[in-house]
Amino acid sequence: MKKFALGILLLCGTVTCVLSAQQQASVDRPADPNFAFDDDGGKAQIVPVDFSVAGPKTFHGGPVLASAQQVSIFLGVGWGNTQVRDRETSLLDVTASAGNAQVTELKQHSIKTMRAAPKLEDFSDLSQSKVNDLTIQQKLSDLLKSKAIPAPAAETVYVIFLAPGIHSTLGGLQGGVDYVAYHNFVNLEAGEIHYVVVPFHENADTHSAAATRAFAETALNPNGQGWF
Amino acid sequence: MQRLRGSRLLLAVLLLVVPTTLFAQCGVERWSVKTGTDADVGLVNLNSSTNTTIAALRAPAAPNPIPANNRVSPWETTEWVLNATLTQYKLESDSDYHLVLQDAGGLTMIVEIPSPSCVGAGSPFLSGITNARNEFNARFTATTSFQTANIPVQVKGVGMFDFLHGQTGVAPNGIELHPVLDIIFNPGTQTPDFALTASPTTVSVAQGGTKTTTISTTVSGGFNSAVSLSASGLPSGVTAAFSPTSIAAPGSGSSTLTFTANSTAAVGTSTITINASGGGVSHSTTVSLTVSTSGGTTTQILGNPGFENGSTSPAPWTVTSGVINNSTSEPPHAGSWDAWMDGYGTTHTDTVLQQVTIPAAATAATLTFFLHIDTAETSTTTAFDTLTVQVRNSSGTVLSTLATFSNLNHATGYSQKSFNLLSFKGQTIQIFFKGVEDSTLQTSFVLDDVNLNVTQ
Repeated sequence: MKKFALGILLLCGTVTCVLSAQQQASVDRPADPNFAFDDDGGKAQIVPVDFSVAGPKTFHGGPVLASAQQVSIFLGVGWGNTQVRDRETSLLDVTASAGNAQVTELKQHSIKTMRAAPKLEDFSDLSQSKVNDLTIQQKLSDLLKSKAIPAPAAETVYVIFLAPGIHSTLGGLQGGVDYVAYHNFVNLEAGEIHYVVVPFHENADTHSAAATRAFAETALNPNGQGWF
Repeated sequence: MQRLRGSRLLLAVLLLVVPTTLFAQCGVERWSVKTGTDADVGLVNLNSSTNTTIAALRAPAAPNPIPANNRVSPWETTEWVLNATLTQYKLESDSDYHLVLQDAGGLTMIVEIPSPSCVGAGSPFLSGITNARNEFNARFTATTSFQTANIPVQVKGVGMFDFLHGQTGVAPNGIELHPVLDIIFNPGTQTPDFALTASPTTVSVAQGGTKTTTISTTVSGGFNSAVSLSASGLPSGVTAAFSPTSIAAPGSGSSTLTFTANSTAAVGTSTITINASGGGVSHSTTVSLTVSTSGGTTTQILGNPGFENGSTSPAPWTVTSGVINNSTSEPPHAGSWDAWMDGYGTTHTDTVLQQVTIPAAATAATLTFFLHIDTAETSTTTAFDTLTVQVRNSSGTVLSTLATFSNLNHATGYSQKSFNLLSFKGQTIQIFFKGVEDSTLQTSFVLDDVNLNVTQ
């Protein structure tokens, strides 16, 4: 029986065949379409694939960040490729460009955007092609313990850009299929960590816009009870 | 553990199409507190339980800040017992079972059962977590989607303040029972009971010598009492001593049973009955005890018993490629090296063999080894991948199959196995381990410290 099942899998040939379709159909989701169950029972806010239209936000009584500073982490061996690496420049400070709609929105809520902190490049050859939110949290824990990234301050938002070839998952959702970025938080020995995960996107503009959107949503809704 | 050797294409395909949950992951946030490897775990009193309610647990304010690796007393240092209704459950990606409990007034809170494979070996919660996980699995099959239920439960567990994160069913202060150490469905209809086992069940001791076996108990149905232990059927000249002499309430634990044979102990094999009683319940199990003649000296006759010669010179073992291992993926029982058989998730056979002669004058010959099995198989009924332990003659003809293990025997850590080989005295034999893995889902058979003790 197992051999038969394996044969079916191999015959499938592409990753988006039957299994993927079934997985999509059975994914557990919170009522709000812009949220997903994360990997340890909580919820995380996602930037959906079609994020061109943002609906009005409602305040839910929780904290927002008074200011936000991007700390970029370029994660994965794929960033070592020269052509890919060239894109880092446009991602280093996602709120830097004037007229950015998200920056305007943050200003409306009196949230200051600070100049981005120096980046970290971690060209780890991750041992698995799928990286879920627990892997991200463990990576952040490891980087903080080794002091490879600055300790978190109240305004710190770690923005993790995944290299090409790394398949991001969040709960039952898949990067590139269900979301183009998400943000979450975790409490580690270093304190409360706010972070954004941005799977690689072939389109550089979409890539940058997704990161900007998730960064802004982190500032507006860092713990799930702010503006969304 | 998945090893990349050959078949990279197959592995790549599997990685892409198989759900992430196949590769069990553990949590990060407050994980030491959730599983009992934190600095304060010694403050948790597991010798008594305190009855409580969901309302009472929801009453205290959440601590601020919540310490990452320490406990908040008394909430996180008390073993609580809670009666409520199980309404939802789900398997999380961090391998926890997330259970939502509700009281008669509609108040909810979360209780979680971690995967034993995510619990450090030194955790005092490990046996309870394993117990609760087995109890839950016997009743429900948790999947990665929430399923509903409506069943009364009695849950025993240690309190833990989680960070509010939009969790389904979470208490307003984030309190959970995490981990759950016992769960009883339909409490009041269950009979409090315990199970009794011995490992190994066959023990050989020479006159003037001592040998041990481990006696273990696990409780069910709300059993909560100390369990006293005794042994009967001892041959003349042999005494039995338990350490500790009883298992403390609630009755789950283990005791080391030491057999001491004096210099004139009766030679031969006896069936020893181990009796256990507590809370009005009694059970027994047996251990086969062989006393051999004195005057002899016991010698370990296998070469390189712990595989510490490393991978470049495994002799006198004959092993298939890649078996001798010192990676941290499958750590040894002792020393630096072990014999890691299979673990590929593809059709594969590994063998480990050593030829040895048991002297004709032997009065006892006991083969022992430590074995760890982990697997990605999920079946609880089918042995897809097997390890056979055989005695063969010098031509390779099988004289006896001592045991067959499989993915069904997977467990955290190592356990020692023991076999009496005295019937092969005077013969040159091969101690032969054969691990056979089918086409998918790895099973690793990890062998270490193989000894053949001969007394003559």
